Amino acid sequence: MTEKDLLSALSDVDEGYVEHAATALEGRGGGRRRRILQTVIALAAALCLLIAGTVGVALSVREPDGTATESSSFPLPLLTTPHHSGELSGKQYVSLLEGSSLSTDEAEYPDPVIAYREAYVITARVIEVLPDVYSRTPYAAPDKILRLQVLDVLNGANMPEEIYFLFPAEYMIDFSPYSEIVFAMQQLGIENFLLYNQTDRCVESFSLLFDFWTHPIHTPNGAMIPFTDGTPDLRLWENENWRYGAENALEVLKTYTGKTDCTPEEFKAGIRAQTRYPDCPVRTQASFDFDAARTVFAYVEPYINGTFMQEESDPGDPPLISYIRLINGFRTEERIVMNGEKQTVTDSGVRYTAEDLQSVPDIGALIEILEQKNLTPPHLDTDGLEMRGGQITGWYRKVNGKVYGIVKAEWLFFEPRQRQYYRDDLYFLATPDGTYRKVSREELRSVIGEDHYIDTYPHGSRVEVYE
Amino acid sequence: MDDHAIIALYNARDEQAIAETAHKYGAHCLAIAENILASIRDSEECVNDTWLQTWNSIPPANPHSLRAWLSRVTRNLALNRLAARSADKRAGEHYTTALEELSECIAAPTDTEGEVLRREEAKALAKSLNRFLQTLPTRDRDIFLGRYYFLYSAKEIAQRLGMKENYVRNVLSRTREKLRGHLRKEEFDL
Repeated sequence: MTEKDLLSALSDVDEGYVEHAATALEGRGGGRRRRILQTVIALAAALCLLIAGTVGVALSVREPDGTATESSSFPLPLLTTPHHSGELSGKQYVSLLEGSSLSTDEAEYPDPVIAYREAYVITARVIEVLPDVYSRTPYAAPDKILRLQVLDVLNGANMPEEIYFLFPAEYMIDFSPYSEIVFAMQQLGIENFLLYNQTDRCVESFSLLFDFWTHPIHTPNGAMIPFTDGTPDLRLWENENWRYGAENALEVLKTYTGKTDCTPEEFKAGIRAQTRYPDCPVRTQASFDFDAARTVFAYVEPYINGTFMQEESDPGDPPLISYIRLINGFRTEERIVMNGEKQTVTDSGVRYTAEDLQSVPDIGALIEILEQKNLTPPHLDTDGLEMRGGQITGWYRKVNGKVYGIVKAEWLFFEPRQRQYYRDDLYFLATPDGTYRKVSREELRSVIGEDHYIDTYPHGSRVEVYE
Repeated sequence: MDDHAIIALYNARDEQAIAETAHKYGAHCLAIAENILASIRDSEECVNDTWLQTWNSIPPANPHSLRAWLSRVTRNLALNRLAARSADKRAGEHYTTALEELSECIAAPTDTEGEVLRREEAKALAKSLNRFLQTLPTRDRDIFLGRYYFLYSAKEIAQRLGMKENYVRNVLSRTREKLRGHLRKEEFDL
C-alpha cells in the first residue's frame, strides 16, 4: 500500500462524514476563491523525495543592505511625566503584519474532562459584565471581565463569594438566560494582577482574577456548562464560535454522570467524587506574611512608585510571586521575586527611580511610526516563502543611569517544499536624548549588553518548530 | 433548490437537474478538482465530467447526500485524470503535500509506482478508514477530512473552522499518528 492508495481510498469513506465535514468547512470562509496555483511540484519528483529523503535546498539569504546599520537618527518624543497613574500613550495593540502569532511551539491543551479534575470548579451566576475591553499584554486578543457570584464550590477551598473572570471578547454572549453555570477555572492573580484597559488606554489592577482552565480557542468549550431549570442548557452553543462546545460539554457530563441529561446535583456529585485536589486553596496574600514581603507589597502598591505586573507560580509548584515594572505598558528588567516557602526576596538589582522616569523614550510612539513604514525582513529573500506571522514588541533597559527603549520587529516564514521554517528580526534603539535609529544585534548589545530578547540564531538558518 | 428536488429532476430526466447541480455545488466541486489538478482548465473539464457521470448514474442511484456524492465523483475523476497525465503536467500543491503527510501513516511504503491496489484491497482499506474515522471526535474528523479528502491547506481549514492554524496542524499530526497505529493493528502495513 502507498500513500496514494490511502488518499484514493478516502474517496469511499462514509458519505455522512464527508457531508458533516463539508458543512463545517463552509463555515466562515464563504465561497472558495479561485486561484491559480503558482508553485507546483512534479508528482514523480515528489515521490522520489519521499523515498530518498529530503533534499537540501539552499535558501538564498539577502546580504544586509548598507542601511541595516545606518547610524541616522530620527526624532522621538520623550515621556516626561512620571507614570505613576498607569496611563499609557502610544499604540497598545499593534499587529505589524497579517498572519498567525509568531509563536509556533504551542503546547497541547488538556481536554475538558481532565480540566474538571484539576481545576478550581464552581457554579456561578454572572451578575455583571464590566463595560471596558481588556487584554493581558499590549498585543493580546481582547477580553471582557465578568463579575461572578459563586453559588457552589466543587473543587477548591477558600473561594470568595464573588470573583472576577476573564472572558475572551470573541466568544462574548448574553449570560442572562442562564441561572447557574459550571466553570472549570485557573487562578490568574492574587492582587495587583494588571490588565491593559484598551477602552481607556490605561492599566488596571484586579484582585482574585480567574479564567478558563482550557481556553475557548483551543477546546471550545467544555470548561463552561450552563444549567437552566435543572437541565443542561444547550442554548449557549447556538453561537457559532462555540462550534464544538456542545460536543465537549456533553462529553464532560457523560464522563462524570454517565449521561448527558443529568441534573446539576448529579453533575456536582460526579465532579466531587473524581476531583484530584478538592481542597486546593485559592491563593491570597495572607500566605506571604513575612517582613520582607510586606516591604515589597508597599513598594509595588499600585501607582505609588510606578506600575508593576504580577506573575505567580502554578499551584503545586514552590510558591513564588514576581513583580515586574512596566513603563507605558512595556516591560523593564526591574523584577522582584518573593519565595513564600523560604520567606526570601530576591531582585534583579535594577531600580527605576522617579528621576529615571522623568525622561523616557516613548517606544509606543515609535511603534506607531514604524507601523507606517511597511517594514520588511532585512536578511531573508522571501521569494517562494509563505509568511506565517509577524509581530512587533518593545521593552526598556536602564544602562548607566539612563533609560533606553528597544523595539523589535520579527517574522516567521515557511518554505513549503522542504517544510522548513525561517525567521528574521530587525531592531530599533530609542535613546534618552529623544531620538531613535535602526541598529544591528551587535550594536544593540554594545549599548545595553546581553539581553535574552535579542535573538542569536544565524540569519538565513532553518528554525526548528514544533508542529 | 433542495437536494430532493434536484434528484427528482434527474429521475424525471429533466436536464435542468444539471444546471441546478452546477449552481449549487459547482464551486465546491471545482475547489476539490483544483486542489488535485492545479489547472483551471483541467478542473473545469473534471467538473463537467462529474455532471455527466451524475446524469448517467441517477437513476438508479439515489444519494442520501448529493454534496457528498458529488464530492466523491469529482475527487475520483480528478485522481484518475491525474494518474493519466503525462509526467510534465503536475499535481496540485495541496495534493502533493497531503501525500507526503500521509506517507507517515504507512510503516513500510512499497515502491508500487505503476501498480494499483487490487480492488478488494482498496475496498477493505476504505472500510478500515471508516472504522478509524468512527473513533475520532467530530472536530478532529472534520479537520482530517478537510485536509485529506477535500485537500484544503491547514491555513484554509483554520480559517473556515475559526481556529488557529497551529491547532489544526497539531490535530492533523496527532490524527496521523493514530491512523498509523490503526493501520498497523488492522495489518495494512504489510
